[in-house]
Amino acid sequence: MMRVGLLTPLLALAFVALALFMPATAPFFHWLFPENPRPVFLRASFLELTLAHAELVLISAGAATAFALGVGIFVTRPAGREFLPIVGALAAVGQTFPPAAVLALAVPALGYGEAPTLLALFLYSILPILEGTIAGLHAVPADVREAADGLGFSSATKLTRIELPLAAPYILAGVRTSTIIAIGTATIGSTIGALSLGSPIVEGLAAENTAYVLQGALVVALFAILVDRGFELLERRLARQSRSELPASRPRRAAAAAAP
Amino acid sequence: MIEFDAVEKFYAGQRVLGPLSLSIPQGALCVLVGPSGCGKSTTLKMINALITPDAGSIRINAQPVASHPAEELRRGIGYVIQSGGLFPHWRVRDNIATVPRLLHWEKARVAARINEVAEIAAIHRALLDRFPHQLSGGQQQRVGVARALAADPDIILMDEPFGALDPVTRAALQKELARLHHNTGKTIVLVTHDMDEALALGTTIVVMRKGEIAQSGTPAEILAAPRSDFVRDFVGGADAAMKLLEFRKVREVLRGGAESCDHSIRTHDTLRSALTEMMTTGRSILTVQNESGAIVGSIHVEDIVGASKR
Amino acid sequence: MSTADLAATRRTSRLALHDRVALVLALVAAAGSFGAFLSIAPNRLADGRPLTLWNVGLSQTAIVLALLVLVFMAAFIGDRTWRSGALFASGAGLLISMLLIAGTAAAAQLDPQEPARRIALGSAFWILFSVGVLACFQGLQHAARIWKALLSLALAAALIAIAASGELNSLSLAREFHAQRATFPTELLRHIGLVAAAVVVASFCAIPLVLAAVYRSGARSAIFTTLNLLQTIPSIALFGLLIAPLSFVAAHVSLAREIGIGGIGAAPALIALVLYGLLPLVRSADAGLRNVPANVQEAARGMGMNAQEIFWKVDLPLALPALVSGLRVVTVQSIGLAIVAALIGAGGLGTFVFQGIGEYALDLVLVGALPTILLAVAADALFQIVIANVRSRP
Ligand SMILES: Nc1ncnc2c1ncn2[C@@H]1O[C@H](COP(=O)(O)OP(=O)(O)OP(=O)(O)O)[C@@H](O)[C@H]1O
Ligand SMILES: [Mg+2]
Repeated sequence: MMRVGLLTPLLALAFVALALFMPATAPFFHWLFPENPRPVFLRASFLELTLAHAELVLISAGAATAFALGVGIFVTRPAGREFLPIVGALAAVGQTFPPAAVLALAVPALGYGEAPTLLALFLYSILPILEGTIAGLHAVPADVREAADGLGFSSATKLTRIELPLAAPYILAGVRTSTIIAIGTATIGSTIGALSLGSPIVEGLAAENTAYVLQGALVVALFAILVDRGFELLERRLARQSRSELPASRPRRAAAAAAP
Repeated sequence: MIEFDAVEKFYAGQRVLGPLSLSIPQGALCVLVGPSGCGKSTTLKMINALITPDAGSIRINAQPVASHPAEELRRGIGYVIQSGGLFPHWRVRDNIATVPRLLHWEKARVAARINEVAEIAAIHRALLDRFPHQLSGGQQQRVGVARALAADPDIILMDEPFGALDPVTRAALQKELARLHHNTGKTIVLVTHDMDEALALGTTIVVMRKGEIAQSGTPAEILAAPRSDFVRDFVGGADAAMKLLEFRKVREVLRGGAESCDHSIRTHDTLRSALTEMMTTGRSILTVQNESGAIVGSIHVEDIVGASKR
Repeated sequence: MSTADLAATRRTSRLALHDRVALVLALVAAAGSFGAFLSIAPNRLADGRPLTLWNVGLSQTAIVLALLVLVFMAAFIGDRTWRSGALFASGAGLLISMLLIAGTAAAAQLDPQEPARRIALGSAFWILFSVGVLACFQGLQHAARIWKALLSLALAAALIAIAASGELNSLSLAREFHAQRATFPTELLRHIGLVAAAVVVASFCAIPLVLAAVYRSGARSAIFTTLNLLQTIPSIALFGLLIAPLSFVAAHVSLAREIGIGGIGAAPALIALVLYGLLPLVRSADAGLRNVPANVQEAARGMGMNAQEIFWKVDLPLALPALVSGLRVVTVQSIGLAIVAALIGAGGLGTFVFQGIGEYALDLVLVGALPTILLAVAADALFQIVIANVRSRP
């Protein structure tokens, strides 16, 4: 706890400093790579890169969350239950597809640049959120649902007031997974021409400029870690809340190892 | 003979047990009974060194428990835990064979012993090749008992062995346990929080409260003379009088002289059945016969009432 | 006539929708079929001219139409067995006919005047092919396990046979595969080798971490915080971060250089894959070992097992399914990450992907991406079979 508590602000500080003042590190990288004539990536500022990266992730993850929530709710209602097996199978098999391969497949479909990257990020981000939504809605105990029915909830209020809040930890876990994968995939998106924090890395690799690679890698790694820490805090807050509000009905996580 | 000598146990500086001194004679079926959290399981688990006391000592047949390597000690003591604790990845057969295999018995001997013990615990042959999750709760409990018996230990420890069962299955298993105890003469220490189970099974009952012994003795002693309000309440208040009648015999309140009457009862019947007989026949006096049927006296309702008060 | 009979006749005589999934599949396929089935371009760089399925030829059109109608009609079949049969049959028919039609149509489009002509598969092909897969899935859903396995294997064998028969050789994808036939096996083996090495090394590295996490309560949170941190770093960034230190090592330690450790190549790729693999392995093993029920462990102790016996006879067998599912996650994940490793010169199927992206050779991208996906899905399926079958013996 202590270590994490101290670590996160330090990482945040490092991230902000690097994103804003990367050019100031020129003497350091010059010392590290003396024969490199251009030791700092200057084609775009790291702030710009970070914003572009965040935009890619936000748009795709946001759209994917909305879409996945809709589908997840639909297939767990009586009207859509028929679609549950096939949707569940698609989500499970889809997640075995390598994100980089999905990204590559978007190129024949949409060409180069931001558009194919967004499409690949969107498609891939749907899957973990969809799985989380379905798992979360299924984990709502039957007696809780029955009690809600007995109290006279309509199916819409039951969904928004009982089921979704109880499923929230699972959904959030899905969004977290999706977002982290999206950050990683957006980095690779630079190979198909999207501007992101991966751009210095890809250009550095192509031009054998290790300084660029290091700079991009550092900033994007910090970015991903910080976003993940943010989700961690969010999850903890959610856990605290639902514990205090609904002591008996918190969904239990599925045990990993089921005895034969 | 199992002896506890001023045993104490602390958790986080809090004393949860003791000082506790207790001796359980060879061949006894000793029941530890008390409300939840009073230290029954802690006491039991000290006997096979699953928990080590912080003060005092425990001896089995005059040998201190601490003087043996724990594993060796445990292989010589049967242990039945609440909720079965069967190994889910092993078949019933292999569960039963656990300790014999730990003791490196020969294959043939293990196989023979499995069948023997299954018979004692009334486990049907067909169940031996199933996995625990394919058994009912009662069957699982039997397997737990069979596993404890497998290496023929002199002492068997049971922690709420019939805890989660329905009353009918529970009664059946209690009866079998009583029979088993009677037939083998093993020393059995059993934990329960159910006073009726304690009275039904125990030859010695130890009532515990907050880590201490509130009272110990035979069922009749505890029913007849509860030493404190706690024990009185725990054994069931007014109902205790009725329970006590179960443990007293007609011959104890027999009056001499042959008052003849058309309903009779025998000397070794319990006072409870005498009372029942009076209530169903509407008599207040019954003739008493001995084993061979000869009339030896009579029994009066006011004597039964008197006996229940002591 | 009894009321039951009456109800039965009414059920059979009235047209009712029984499977909305089939209906949706039929509609998606119908809509998708109007897109480009093939795209024909004079060369790699030029834009393609679309050829729709309905212009390929009369008999082909008739076959596809019949299959789509069958999917549509399956939605209205009341009897589940018949419905499933119709769905599977139409799905399998779609898969096979798509391949065959694409092959023959492409062959018909070949033009000796234009040797660089590129005949690529278009959206209609991919949509109908996917609908075929889903129709097969939906059709097999209620089938017995053995039928599921047999029918899927037979279908897969048929598709592979068509691909191997040379029917598809006129498609640019097949030509690209053909063009890469010299390097493809090498890169495939490299890819698999890299993944296998990463999984093995990660497993060995995970052992002490798991033991520490499970049995030394103090180390647990530090281990998970660190591994989680590593897992969060984007793959390409982790590869990049390893380049500098490794080239430093290679520059200063001649032994390291001799055994092939350098800033780019297999060494940083392997190290990164291993680092990524640790979290899933440690997490699942930790969960497996800690989920051994407390009463089972207490029983084991009470029976007189010592710590080693409890670990080997109770904890480990009970955690086995979790351990294997950890391996599954790591294997599938590594297959995907190894694509990116090509960027730092580690080779593998990613070589084709990035070379294709760089040269705007979209078929070359597919030559890398499709086998990787197949590899990942196959590995996943294989591990699922293993997990379903691990049941330990005493
Ligand atoms: N490992 C432990 N750490 C801290 N306290 C413990 C521990 N084990 C037992 N205790 C405490 O010791 C007391 C006695 O526990 P014990 O398990 O012996 O009770 P019990 O009589 O068997 O209760 P129950 O009928 O509920 O099983 C309880 O107050 C319990 O909270
Ligand atoms: Mg207890």
